[in-house]
Amino acid sequence: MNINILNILKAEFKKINHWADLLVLSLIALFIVLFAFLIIKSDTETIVGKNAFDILFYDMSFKLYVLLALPLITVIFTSKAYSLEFHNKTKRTLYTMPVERSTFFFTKLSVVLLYNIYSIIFLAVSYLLLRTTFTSNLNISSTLDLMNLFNYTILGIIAITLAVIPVSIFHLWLSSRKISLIYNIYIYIGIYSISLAMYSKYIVNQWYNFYLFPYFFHKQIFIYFKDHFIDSRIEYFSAHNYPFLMFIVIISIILALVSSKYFIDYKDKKY
Amino acid sequence: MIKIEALYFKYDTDNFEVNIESLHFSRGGIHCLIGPNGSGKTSLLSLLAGLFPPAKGRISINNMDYASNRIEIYEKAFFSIDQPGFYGNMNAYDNLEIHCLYRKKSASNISEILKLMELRNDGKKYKNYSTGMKQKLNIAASLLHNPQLIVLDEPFNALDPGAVINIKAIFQKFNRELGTTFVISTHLIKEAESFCTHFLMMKDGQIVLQDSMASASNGLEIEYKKVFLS
Repeated sequence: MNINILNILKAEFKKINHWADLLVLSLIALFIVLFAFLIIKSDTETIVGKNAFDILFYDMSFKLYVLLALPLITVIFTSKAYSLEFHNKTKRTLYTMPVERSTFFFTKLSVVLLYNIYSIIFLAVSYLLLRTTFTSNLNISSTLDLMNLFNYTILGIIAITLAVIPVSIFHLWLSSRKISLIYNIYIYIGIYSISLAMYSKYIVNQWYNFYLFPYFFHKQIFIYFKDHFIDSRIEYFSAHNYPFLMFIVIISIILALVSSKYFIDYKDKKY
Repeated sequence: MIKIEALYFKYDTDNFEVNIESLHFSRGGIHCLIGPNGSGKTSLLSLLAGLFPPAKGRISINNMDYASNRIEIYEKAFFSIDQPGFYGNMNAYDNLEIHCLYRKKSASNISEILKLMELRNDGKKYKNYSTGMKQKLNIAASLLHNPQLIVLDEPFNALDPGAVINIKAIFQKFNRELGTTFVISTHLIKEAESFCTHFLMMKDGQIVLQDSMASASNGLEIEYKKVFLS
């Protein structure tokens, strides 16, 4: 890798308060796991009956992550990465540095991508840390399936990449135009739609299975996913948690609006 | 060092135009751009910095142009246009370190440069700096890697008289010892007169007078009055 890209990546992390950000991301991951546990706890009969606590628990955590955390983290941190250049009036300084302008875009995209990857890995770690406490609390025995955890994490990273790239491109486009705050909300709705689409049976059965995955991944993993988890869990999730799903959607949109207000400052972006 | 030929630029948002038939900034000189507000000084510096592409004409720096040698130009030059741009939540040292990372240079002389500019490395965040301190940090960034060309937009704004004297001496030292070429816009005629080797007067986006200080026998103030107040 070009050493200059590493330097610029280091500069990007230096600009943002990354220790505080990582703490927030860790708390989000912990919150998601706790939230997932609370949902599952309300339906213990199903879990015990299926003897699939681990599968269901991480499946729920993962879904909550993609529905609630992924769009929020992506929009907040992409907005933050770009808006700090406008807020501090450093865009002109950056553009007179001996660096290709496209490199700035790729490094900002990489920061958001790495943040998201960190959060999904921390989600898996949080799950591993908390599952023992939860299983003993509910007095159930369940076998830990690390392969399942790994597959979900990989799927999460792919979901993250799919989410981060369009948002970053959109922000780059925004950075060259005088626009209002409302566009950030459009991005959120867009990325939210992508997240929801990830759950549609059509996407799972057709797009992933036959078009996307064979190029990037071993097809068997996909089929394994489809047959063992995704289809049945979608039905479970939709049948049992529809009002709850709506609640999450509303809460996350409110959070996105509030976060946008704080992180986006395009007032002085034109020069 | 810098050559401009048949340059024409017009903003999309208003009717202001920059129109320069021919202009040359010699290597190793200290060139001052003088003119009233709205005369086109910042626009010309922005064009020199490659921030706007000219509608017509050509700008070449060290016989290179932005279309084919953008990175090479920025490696050897420092541009600060309009107002200093630094990160508010970082201190002076960290802000200069960012410049080092972008320029692939060592950060070893940051403390020395800060001392030279009478800035303390005390962890104070940039957002809490006074306007004068911000200006000093901007000048520190310009001197950090000994570029061949330094282009600064009104570097003496908000500086106290002692700081202006100090910075002029530093500029002259860099110019004398390292051969650094300076292009500086300023409103302060007396300051320009005391340390520039060449001057350039602008009015309505055009060059109205360009000469060396040695040729301006009447002094800059009289030349200024002739051009702008007659």
